[in-house]
Amino acid sequence: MNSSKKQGSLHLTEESTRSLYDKEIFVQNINQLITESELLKSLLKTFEEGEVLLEEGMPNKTLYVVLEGEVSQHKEGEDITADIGLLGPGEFCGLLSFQTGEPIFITIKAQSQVKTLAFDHNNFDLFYTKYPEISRTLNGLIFSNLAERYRNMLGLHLEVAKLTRELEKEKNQLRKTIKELERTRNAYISQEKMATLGELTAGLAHEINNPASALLRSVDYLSQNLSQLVESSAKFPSTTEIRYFFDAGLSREYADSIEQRGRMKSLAGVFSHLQRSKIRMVAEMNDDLIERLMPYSGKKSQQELLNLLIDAYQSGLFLNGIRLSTSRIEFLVKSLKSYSRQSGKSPEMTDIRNGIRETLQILGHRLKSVKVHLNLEEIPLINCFVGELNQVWTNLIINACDAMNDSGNLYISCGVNSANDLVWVKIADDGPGVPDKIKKKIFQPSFTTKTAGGDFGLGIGLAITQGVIEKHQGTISITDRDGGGAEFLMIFPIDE
Amino acid sequence: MPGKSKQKSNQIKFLTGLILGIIGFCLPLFFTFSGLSYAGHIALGIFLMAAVFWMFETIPIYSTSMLVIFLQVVLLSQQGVIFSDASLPTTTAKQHTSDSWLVPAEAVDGERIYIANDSRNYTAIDVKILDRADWVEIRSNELQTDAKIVSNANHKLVGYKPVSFSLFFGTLASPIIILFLGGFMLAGAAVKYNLDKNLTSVLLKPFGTKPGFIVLGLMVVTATLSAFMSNTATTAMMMTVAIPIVAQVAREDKFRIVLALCIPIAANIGGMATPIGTPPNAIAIANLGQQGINIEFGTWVVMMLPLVILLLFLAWLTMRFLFPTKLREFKLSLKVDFNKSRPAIILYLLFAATVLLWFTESVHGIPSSMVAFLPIAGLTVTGVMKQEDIRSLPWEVLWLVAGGIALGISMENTGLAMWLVSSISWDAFPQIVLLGVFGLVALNLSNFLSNTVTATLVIPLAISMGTSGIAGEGFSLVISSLAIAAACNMAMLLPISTPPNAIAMSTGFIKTPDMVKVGIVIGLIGIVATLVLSQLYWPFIIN
Amino acid sequence: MSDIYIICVEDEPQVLDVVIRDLEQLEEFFPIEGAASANDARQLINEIKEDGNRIGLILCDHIMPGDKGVDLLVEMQKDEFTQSTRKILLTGQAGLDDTIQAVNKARLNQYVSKPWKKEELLKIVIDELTDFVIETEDDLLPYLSVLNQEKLQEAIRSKGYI
Repeated sequence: MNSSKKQGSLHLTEESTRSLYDKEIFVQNINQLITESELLKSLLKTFEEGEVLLEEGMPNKTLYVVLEGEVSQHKEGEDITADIGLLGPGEFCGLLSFQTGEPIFITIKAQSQVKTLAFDHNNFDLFYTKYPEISRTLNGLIFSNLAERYRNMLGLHLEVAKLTRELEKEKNQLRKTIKELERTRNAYISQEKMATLGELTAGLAHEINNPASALLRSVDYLSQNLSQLVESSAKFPSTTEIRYFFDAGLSREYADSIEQRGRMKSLAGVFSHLQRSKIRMVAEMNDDLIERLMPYSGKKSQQELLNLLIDAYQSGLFLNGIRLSTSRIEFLVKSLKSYSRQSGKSPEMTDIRNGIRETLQILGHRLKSVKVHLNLEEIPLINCFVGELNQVWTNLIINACDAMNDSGNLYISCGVNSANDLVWVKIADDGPGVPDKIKKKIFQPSFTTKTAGGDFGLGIGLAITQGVIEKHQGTISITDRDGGGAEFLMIFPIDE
Repeated sequence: MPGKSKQKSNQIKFLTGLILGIIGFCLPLFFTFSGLSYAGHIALGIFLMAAVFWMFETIPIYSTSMLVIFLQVVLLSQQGVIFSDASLPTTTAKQHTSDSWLVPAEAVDGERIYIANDSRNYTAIDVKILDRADWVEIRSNELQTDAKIVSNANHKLVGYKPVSFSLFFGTLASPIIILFLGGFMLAGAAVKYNLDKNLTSVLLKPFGTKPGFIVLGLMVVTATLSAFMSNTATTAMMMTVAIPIVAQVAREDKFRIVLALCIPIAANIGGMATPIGTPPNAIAIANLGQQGINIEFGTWVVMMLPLVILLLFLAWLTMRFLFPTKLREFKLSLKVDFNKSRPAIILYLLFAATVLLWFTESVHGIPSSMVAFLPIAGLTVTGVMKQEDIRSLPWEVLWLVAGGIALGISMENTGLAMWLVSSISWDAFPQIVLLGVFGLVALNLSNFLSNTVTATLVIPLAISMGTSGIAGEGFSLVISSLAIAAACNMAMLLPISTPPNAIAMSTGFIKTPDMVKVGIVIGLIGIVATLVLSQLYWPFIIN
Repeated sequence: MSDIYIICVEDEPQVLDVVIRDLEQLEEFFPIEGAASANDARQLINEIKEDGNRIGLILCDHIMPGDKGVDLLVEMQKDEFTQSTRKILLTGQAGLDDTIQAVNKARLNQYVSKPWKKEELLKIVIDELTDFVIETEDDLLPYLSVLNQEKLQEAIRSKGYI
């Protein structure tokens, strides 16, 4: 067998037997004999290319000895045909089935024009008796052929063992790679989450710092103002007036700053000996209050009382500021709490509109110059992981803000389909929109239109979004909004 | 608006000054004052206008000085519009009798007529009036036949000999200005290389930690520095030393007042010590210079130093008495870090050399203004003072002084100063009373006006009293000028009296009454001390 | 003599209230004006300019509806009238990019983060105004009692007039 020759470990043994049972010499001898023997001449059989010598599964009556040309061997497996190799001059075909009577084991075909000696059992015995010397060689050849086959089988066993081992190794490698990939993917996802988180905390810092500043400073001033107020209010004939101004401050509405400047200018003439900061307060007041201040405006002796009333108003004002700031912080903290609620192991029945509202609240700093058009219709509860869906809203809204450069219109709407089995949510902007070419790959991980080293994220935000939505048996798609911009449409099934 | 009322009052002040100034300028054009020459009238107009503008600060005081020089060049110079083509009107006296002559009535000025030597020069001769008519009959031995006499005794060329415009311009390069420029250069370089700060630290160290002595130390150092640097810059610099101390003193402790007040007072007083200390000194020296009297740098210091020391000590005692300190001890943190770069070393050497040469004028005889050119040339040649440093020198102060000097020249040579002082018979008063009057006038004016302006207005009057003999025997030009200059510098009653006072007041640590209390003591005792020195000490130095 | 204004730009009225209140002690010398947005501020700047007054300092929030604070500051830096105005960013949050832009293009003088302490804010504002006054005014005396004395005295010293 050709393949056996390549087996280095068996090569030596073969070399040593070569002189004894050399196939070439055997073929030469046979060819010599053929010219002399009519018997042998009658046994000669030639096959054309592609002709089948022996067919697998059939009983065998013939032993072929190849003299010229090559034959191929095939073994039919369950669903594949294995190519076993070629046999050349000096090789035997059908040896085992010929000797044992078992069905043919391997199909043998002529690879080219093949010249053979075809023995049947009678001829074979005749040959033995007629040419005993050659027969001895033939016997040797037969045994060495069998031995070679056996050796090959052992080699194949070894090879299989080795291949199995390598396969195992490769399998392990593959398993490791998959694990690593998983880890990387998780890292990316958590990085993306961190980026979103960073964006959120920064925004929250601003959202909370503003009312916190107002709160801190107002408390400071109020504690100063109040003690003075209490002290000097004894000088004022009627405390109801002080109370009136305090209450007015408490329910003040914020005026337009330009309008107020105009008022300050005109009031500076009336209350000429008031400090500018006091006049600013007076300018905040409505006409009724200013009318009440008028009796004290002209005389310098009345200035203390005038200041007292203004201070009372300002105290009310600061208290109002404290009230507004506190409720603002409270609201923010509440929103944050429910926004960041860890989703449990199992989904819960939720009104997803709450999550959208909370997300908008928390992203307030990004939306200062964005006009938000909310159209949230009544929708049934759906079974979902709230925290993860909030992540979706956050991603999509931040994406929209990025696309619009933080100023423009944001449209958010939701509803139910007519069959009442699907909830849809649309988040759209009037930014530049998404080109068709990009739409196809926008949900692929690592796709981003943000510039390198940009604000945040690694461009897998939308991939995560899609992942979350698929987890909810939903779909997400992107289209152009009517009138420009991009529109994301999400559809979730309503579970019963 | 906070500034509105202030703006309004500023506007009123501006308009009042402008109108009064213009009236002052025009007044002599419409009224003729007897005894005052034509040019004297012009000079009076300029004088009145300048005085008003300086008082009301209608325009910056240095620009008033520039305006003065401009008007003098245009109106009073030989090349100006009035005098460029002027020539004396002449006529011939008619011989009436053998010893009497007839001249036109306008040609007679009291008991004098003027013989014209050429178109611009004349000689006055005394005549005896015999008869007055359209033609006056006079008798004089000095008249000869065909003598050309000036036909109009009120002509503009009578009583005033026009001077070249370059004389007015030249005031800006007069020796005293150069002396000042030298001082400015040294002071500017000292500030640039922090010599003033380091000297302060070094000099303050020996004064220890007792608040009283710290104040004394601050005063001595301030006075010393302000003798060579501008009083304002010294005050500002010393304030940076004092402010950290103030910050650590309890709000109700009067030590705060003392700290903020001692510095401007010392700066004002210290300015008296040297000719370059403050501009009034320059005005005094310049006016004396016009009369050919040279005051050496060292002489000035020797004369003034006792007064300076006395006033410093007095101010210190007054403040200790008025504002007792609760603080027992205070540790000053003084950093000495002399700049050791090449230009700084050059500055130290030039500074030392200049001051040494100034004080030793009597030995080597080189005038102080010549010495002053040593730092001017030295600091620029060596690159210690660069273009931008020279640009930042207070040139307007030099203009202010130059204008003052120029005004003094015209007051003198048009006879204006003489005319102003001759209305009272001063010789009836003893010398010391005269000096006292001048001192008080200068002190009072200077409390409201710039010291320099006061000196400019008052010193020429004193000088002309002395030169004309109106003041009587024994009136010393030097003593009177010094006394007036000293009086000008002693004015520190109000925040507006001097820039150092304004700085101290602006800090917000002191109130005007605090300043007034100390100011009154220093002003009054200062004048008395000056009078005492003028009688018992100064005469010996001059001789 | 023209007035030197302080401008505060802040979109949240309660915050604007307290900012102005914090600076109140400066008001006697430096009139304070508030603006609720960059556009408001622009109008205010124009009014002050037309009245012949000047702007010594602007205290500006960054995140506001309409134009951002940094945009306004950059714009002011380009305008001759407001070039010397001291510029302070008072904000709870401004991204690194915005801050870099503010420093590079608007010559931002200070960055104050919210919430602030009154004393710190006052000190910063006083220091900046001191620099403005030293840079633009000839007569520094009126400011000695309100602004940074030491800096002013130092400036008077180096200006070195008599």
